[in-house]
Amino acid sequence: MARRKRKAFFKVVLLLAFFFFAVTWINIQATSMGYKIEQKRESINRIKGENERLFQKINSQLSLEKLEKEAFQMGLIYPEPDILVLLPDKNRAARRPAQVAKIFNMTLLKAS
Amino acid sequence: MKTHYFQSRLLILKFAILSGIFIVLARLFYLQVSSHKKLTSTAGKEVERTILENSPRGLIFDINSNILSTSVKAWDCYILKKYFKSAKKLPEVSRVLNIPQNVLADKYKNFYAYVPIKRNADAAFFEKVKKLKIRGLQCDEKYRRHYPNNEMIRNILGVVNSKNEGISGIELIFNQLLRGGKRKRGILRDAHGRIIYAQSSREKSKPLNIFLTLDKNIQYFCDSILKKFVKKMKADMGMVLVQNPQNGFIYAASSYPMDINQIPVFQWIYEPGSTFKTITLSAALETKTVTPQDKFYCENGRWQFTPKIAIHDHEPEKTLTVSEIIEKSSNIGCAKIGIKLGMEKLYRQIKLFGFGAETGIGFYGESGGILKPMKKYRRIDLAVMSYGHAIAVTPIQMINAYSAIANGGNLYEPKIIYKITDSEKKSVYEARKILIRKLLQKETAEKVKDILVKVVEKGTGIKAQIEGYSIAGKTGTSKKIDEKGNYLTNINVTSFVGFFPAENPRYTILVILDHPRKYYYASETAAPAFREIAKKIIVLKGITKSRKS
Repeated sequence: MARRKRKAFFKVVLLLAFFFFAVTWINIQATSMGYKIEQKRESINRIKGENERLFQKINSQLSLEKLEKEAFQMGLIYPEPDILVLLPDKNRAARRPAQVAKIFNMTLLKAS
Repeated sequence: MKTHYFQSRLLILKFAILSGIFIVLARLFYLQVSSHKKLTSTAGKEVERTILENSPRGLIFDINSNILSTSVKAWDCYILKKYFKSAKKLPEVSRVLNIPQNVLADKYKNFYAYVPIKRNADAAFFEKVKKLKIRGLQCDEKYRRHYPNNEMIRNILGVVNSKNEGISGIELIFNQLLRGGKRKRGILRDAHGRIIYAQSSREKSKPLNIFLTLDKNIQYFCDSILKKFVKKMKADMGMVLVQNPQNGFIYAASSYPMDINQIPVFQWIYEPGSTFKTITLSAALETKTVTPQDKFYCENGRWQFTPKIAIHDHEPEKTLTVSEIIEKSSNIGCAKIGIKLGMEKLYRQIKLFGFGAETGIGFYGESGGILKPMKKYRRIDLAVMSYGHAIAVTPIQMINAYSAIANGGNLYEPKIIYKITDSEKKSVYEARKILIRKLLQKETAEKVKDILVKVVEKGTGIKAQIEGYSIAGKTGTSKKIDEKGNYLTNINVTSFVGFFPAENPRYTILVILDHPRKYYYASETAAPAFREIAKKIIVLKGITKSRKS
């Protein structure tokens, strides 16, 4: 009887010990996860910062003063309006059948 | 006997282990339960913090989504003597950070607790500081404003102070929208100061982005051409405005030399001179007081208006039609038109065109010009006002008036804000054209336009011509006035305002040169500048030639 009681007592103590161990282990894991999350956050911020700096660099490389200076160094000049050649407009191809029909005095059949 | 001895020893061992466990449990109970409140509070003070973070300011774009103003990370680096403790590490700091040792040593000696090292440091500097890992050597992260286009429209964009709050221009007017909110985050730190856990609380309001109607490319051309002409003509200052006459959008607002605290195109007042003759002409045609073919005798260049006052033309002319009066810019002819029109009708038309009042573009310090109450004007004022004296206007008022003529008689509200978006690029506000009033009948506007085309084809605006393109415009030369409206001796202001293509106007351009010394008249100074700017816009925007040029 006493032996049974001692066995039961040990089981309870073991159970409690296991419980406390589990709680401690989970806390440690949570703290460790916290460190990792914060490290990832810092990493994201660092990459965002790097992205911003590259974006700024692109903007400054594309600044109009710089482009103009480099263009002049390459011997390029600003075009005058009289040498401006405008490409045909997008709708020209669509208008072409009607124009051809007019030239040959034909009737344009509409697509069914 | 042996078994009994073994069992009693086992019992003692068990008792010892249990006692140990019991002591640990008792201690745990004491820490976790009895002293829970007290220890939580003490630990909280050490490890729990709430930090305040600023979000970056919203961006400012031009009409084509080119960035004009952005926020970049910067760091203020410093030494806290309390933690730095001794000056022995200063040589290493100065070597790595590339700061002269004597400069750093002096600062360390002179400052009491906080020793500033560098403000607005870039990321590379911050990384060097971080790598040093010296206690007491710290950096505070912040955002600072960055303008990728250097000085372009800096006076319109405005300036922010050290706290990243707008103090002028767009940065000030839209400070609440651009600023966004402050973000609070609860954090837990360990004994080494590393963050274990951080909350992300939502910002109450995220910053918005602003799109201006300004076109970066047109602005650039205006800036460079204006600078060239101000230097070439040896002028004190120059201004250019470019506007879309169909909706009032301002594409460019340039001034040289630029003062970051002023926006002359909205604030500066001047006597418009002969550019104002178009207003008199519009009033006379609209009220059917005259027709373009009506003739007036121009007194051979000198008209003795009163015994003491004579009105002069720069070229003597005899009889001219109304159209020719504007083409040749006859002051006498225009004065006679004004007198025939009458003060009441002229004054009414001047007010309808928006002169004497702010345009409502929204910038602090905008002037309404100088227009006295009608009853204070005498007959001589009527005569001289007809050709642009006895009145002061701002550049924005003048270009807005010509845009109204260009678009067929509709006065639109000038706009500089195109749209406002949130961080997800969703529009919160979009500008649309606002008709202030209908000024002129379309036929009247067409007649005025035809006359202005002749001014450029064969009149005083010949130097604004571009072959193949129909341009309408008017020159203006007047004496400069001070803020009180008093004339300054021997100092003039020349201007040219015009629009093109005349058959379907898309751009109105105003060029003003303050006190050009090389030439006197606008036909020699402002008109050629207009032509150069117009040429650039034609090529940039691919404007086809006019059918009749």
